[in-house]
Amino acid sequence: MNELIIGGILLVVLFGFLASGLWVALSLLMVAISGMILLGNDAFGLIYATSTWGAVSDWSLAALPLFIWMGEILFRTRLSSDLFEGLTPWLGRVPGRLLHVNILSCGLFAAVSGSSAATAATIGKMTLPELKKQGYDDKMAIATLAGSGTLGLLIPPSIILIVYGVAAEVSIGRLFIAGAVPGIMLVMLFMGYTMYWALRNPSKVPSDTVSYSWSVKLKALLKLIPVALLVLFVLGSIYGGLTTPTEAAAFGVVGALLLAYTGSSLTRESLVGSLMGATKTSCMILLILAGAAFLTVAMGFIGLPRMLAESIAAMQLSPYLLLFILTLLFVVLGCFLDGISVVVLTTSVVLPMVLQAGIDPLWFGIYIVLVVEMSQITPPVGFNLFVLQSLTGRDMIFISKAALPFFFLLLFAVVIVTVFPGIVTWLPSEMTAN
Amino acid sequence: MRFFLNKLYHGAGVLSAVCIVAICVVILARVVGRWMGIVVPSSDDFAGFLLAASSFLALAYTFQHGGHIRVSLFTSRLSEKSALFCERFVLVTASVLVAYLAYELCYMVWESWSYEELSSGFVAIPMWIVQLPVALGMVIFAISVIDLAACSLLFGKRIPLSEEESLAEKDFIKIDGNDRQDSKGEGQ
Repeated sequence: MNELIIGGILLVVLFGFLASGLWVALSLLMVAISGMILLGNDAFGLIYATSTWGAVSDWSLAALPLFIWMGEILFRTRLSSDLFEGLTPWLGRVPGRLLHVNILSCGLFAAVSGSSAATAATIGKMTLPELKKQGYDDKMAIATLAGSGTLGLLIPPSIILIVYGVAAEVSIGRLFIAGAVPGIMLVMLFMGYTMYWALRNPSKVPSDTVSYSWSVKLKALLKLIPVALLVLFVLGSIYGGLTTPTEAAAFGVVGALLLAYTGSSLTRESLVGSLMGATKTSCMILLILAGAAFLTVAMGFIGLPRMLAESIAAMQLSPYLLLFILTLLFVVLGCFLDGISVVVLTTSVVLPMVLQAGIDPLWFGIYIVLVVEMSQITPPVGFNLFVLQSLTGRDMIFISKAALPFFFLLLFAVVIVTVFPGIVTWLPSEMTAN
Repeated sequence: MRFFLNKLYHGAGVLSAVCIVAICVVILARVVGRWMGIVVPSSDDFAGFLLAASSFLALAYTFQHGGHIRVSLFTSRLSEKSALFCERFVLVTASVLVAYLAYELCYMVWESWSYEELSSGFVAIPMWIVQLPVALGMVIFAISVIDLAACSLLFGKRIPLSEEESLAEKDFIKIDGNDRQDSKGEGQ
């Protein structure tokens, strides 16, 4: 049977099963098995077993449960309120004041938690009532939360970058380094826009009532130091080449436990809760990864990715046009699939095509995470929007409209990174050169 | 029976959590050993084996807690009756699929055992020992899927919501209490 017909049937099978609510990992397996049957290959049972074993016993993946566990421990400490109290006195003079607390606490919290929905919910639960009480514009409060909730996907140690690194065979350490500059750029874009907005709409920001003395500021800083040290230590040891990401993750767990212990929020209950939470999340991700590994092998047998790559080469499609089409595809996929599923689906089908077009897989990893972030707040179906809807009780149209500027800021970031790929690749090449 | 099955899922979940702690310990031992000039033999391999065991043993536990991701964007718009029908279809499909895959993984373990395969690292371990938890986890997963399928067909039991789904549905905070009523189901 022709590859294109098989590809078409598989696409129908995939979307049919996904839409009917079959678990994503099982849908991937279904597609792979259907493909093998259509091809007339009857050894798929054996191939399934070997590809699954190969995928899940890969030691570089061991970073995944450890980073998730670290996040789960910190999630159960006073971290979110410490961030809020620690940052507030420092942002008193920046136009937009408390709105920046939303952005920065999301950025920092996201760096350790890795889930954008959980970040938006945890930070929002604390900052939204406070912003409301002080008379900030609702729309902008929700918008900053929606936008910066997605930061967790990019800012290292990001779970989704580990998944991409393993699936696309790119060094996880290098991906973490590559994510740093675009992550900072995104935070600056968000803060810059908020300042611009605050200067344009002074009526929607309450006039300054509190001014903070230096002693208050320094006391606030003390609350930020422990978590800042932990993040610096974990990332620093990876960036400095002292440890592999997996080893840094193990230290991260120890550091998080220490932080929870000294903050006296380490109870038997929180320890067991964090561990079981990490077990569930990492199991869910690994089942998807195992499904994707089998799908990749099956796709290789069918020859679909190779055929797509060859036809792209024959069409002489410019990389920009290819990226434009892929961006549209990912935003649509991201509207109903979670980021990790989008990434593994992509690597099993699209990656050969991307490599054929001469695109750096390291750069592509950061690009795809940015696009996935964007899809999280795509109006009106992005997942973060649903979380904010339940958080605030506002209707979807209001939330979508509020989040729209941040959607465009993310789009702008994608364009910048595409036009100046050096933003992504400069730091990793600089650091590995020494 | 219900009591026994729940114990089984939970027990496997706890074992899986223990594996994650063990991964952490193995990795730490490896780094500390490196500082002191001691090589912890095959620590990479062990971390990989523990990861495999951990991820498969937790399958049923995660499934029971709604941890596995599925797309509910379309099915959540259905009426109660058609949603239940959809869930039954999905559960029966999943039961057949997972049972078959569990059989294939068991077959892999049996082959490793009969050919006396050894792991390729410094410390050679019979492969069937490290592969056994993977097959076992998948078998328990198959039992839990069939269990839920049976409960769905017999008693109309629903698939548990995921944590993120309940995050998106729970009203855990209300800022504008009066805005609440007219926002339900609008503009989705």
